[in-house]
Amino acid sequence: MKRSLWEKSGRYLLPVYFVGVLLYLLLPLLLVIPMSISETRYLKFPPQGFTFRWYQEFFASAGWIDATLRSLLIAAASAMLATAIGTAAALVLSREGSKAARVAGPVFLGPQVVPVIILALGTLLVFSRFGLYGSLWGVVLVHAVLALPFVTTTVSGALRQTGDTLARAARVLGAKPHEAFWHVTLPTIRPAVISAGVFAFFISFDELVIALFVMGQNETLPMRIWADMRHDLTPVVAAVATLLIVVTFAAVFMSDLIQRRAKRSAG
Amino acid sequence: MSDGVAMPRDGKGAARGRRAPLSSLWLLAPAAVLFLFVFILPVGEVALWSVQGEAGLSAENYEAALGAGPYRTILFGTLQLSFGVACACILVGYPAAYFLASRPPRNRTLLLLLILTPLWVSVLVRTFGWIVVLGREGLVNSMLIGIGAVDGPLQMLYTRGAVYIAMVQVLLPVAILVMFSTMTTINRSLLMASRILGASPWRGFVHIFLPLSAGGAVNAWMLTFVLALGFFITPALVGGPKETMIANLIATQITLTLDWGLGSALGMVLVIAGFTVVGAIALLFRRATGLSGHGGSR
Repeated sequence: MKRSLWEKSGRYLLPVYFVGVLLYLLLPLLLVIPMSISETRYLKFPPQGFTFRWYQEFFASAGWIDATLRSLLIAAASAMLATAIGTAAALVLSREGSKAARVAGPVFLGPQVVPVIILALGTLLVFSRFGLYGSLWGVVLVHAVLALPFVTTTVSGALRQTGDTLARAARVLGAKPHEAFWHVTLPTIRPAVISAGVFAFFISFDELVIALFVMGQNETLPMRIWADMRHDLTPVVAAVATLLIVVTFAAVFMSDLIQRRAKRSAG
Repeated sequence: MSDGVAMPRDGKGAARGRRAPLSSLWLLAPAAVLFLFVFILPVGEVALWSVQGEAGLSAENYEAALGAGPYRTILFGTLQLSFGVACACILVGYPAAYFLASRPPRNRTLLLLLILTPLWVSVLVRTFGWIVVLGREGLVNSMLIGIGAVDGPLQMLYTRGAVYIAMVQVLLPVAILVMFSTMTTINRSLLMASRILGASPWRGFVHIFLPLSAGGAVNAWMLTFVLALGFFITPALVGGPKETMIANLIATQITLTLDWGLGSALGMVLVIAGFTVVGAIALLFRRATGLSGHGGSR
């Protein structure tokens, strides 16, 4: 059969196009990295000279470090909360054909569809009513809700894939429900739970809008970056952005590695 | 004891029995409580504030939000921009998703990971990247001046074009992911069959692959549209005053003018407008595919 033009062009055009899309997605991120070691005070491409000054400024600034630590604390707490209750919910939601799963499943996706600004505004209204304005723990709760859909979909996906035959077998052999969960179910879905936790962490760590509305003087890292980008746009932002890019890439690839290794050992 | 293994899958009878399923309903409770107090309650509060006037219920906030004037202009501008961004995401993302879906699973994973990694980088950082690329002394201007294409730096930041480029980059991985997952469920032997029956690959693509993947594209469109409607960071940092979106307007209402009622009404309008457009698209798509299905049965 003669190869048509469509087939030939498909062979070369599509991969080239795909590389183009990849560059579009990744290049702006990768270009941030050289900016963080450029000597000029303003953003100039290509970078001039070489300096670690902006990193030193970041680590020496109490404002930046406080904001970073606050964000880490909030993200860790909300990731743990979201992962724990999201995994519990996923045990029910993954049960096919149950009424609860059919009703609750789509409802829990709400925070993904309703714009964050609405939730931020509502949170401000509720928090000011209950005196929670500026409270770390209040923000932890809201961030946990934002991460909940990711946790339930990731974990119920894993649960559906593995099925509950083993857990049932454990129950038949006399294990109590929590024993069957800890010793049988959890080990099989652990990679999914870990990556759900990592994503929940990042959702909170990156979240700006809600923090902006309710944190007041207690700046988080995104709030600090936002303020800097809006007002002076210092190269310290480039240093922070570089750190965030490196950490995010490392976390995503590591989480993928964990999942793939688990898949390999299972198959 | 052997009957336990053959328990009905829905576990209804078992829930009352001694061997209750591991997934009893109370496991939903913590998530439901959190959801109720930290999602339903705040969103309800916004709805309440939006209809509160000086004395009891009132539509005055909605009149201010929807009446002729700057708010309505910004609302339409937001809808227009989101519409365009969602369309661009589908057009740019479809061939990429197609390419991904036609890779063998082994090298697919890495490519998918590369596409999805930007999704986990903070939107602030991604927008900062565009400032580096599009700024007065950014990559594009340096290159253009370097090759002598322009004399002075072009104004690219703080324009509608910059908002488009940056928003599409932020949302593109989402669109690709949604379309890709639909495309992987398409049975490729249908295409093979069409080839055997003498159809050209192009014909096979248009008459088999495209209709089967259209649902995914529509879903991706709806999701990116709704997400674009709520955008706040990107338009504020790379757009000019003309690119103010509803979310930015709400933020101004809340933090500067302290008009919580108007801010709430704008928020509700945003949600309602979003759901209306998405509902209309879903309905149109269902009707269109219903008709084509009918046509196919003739």
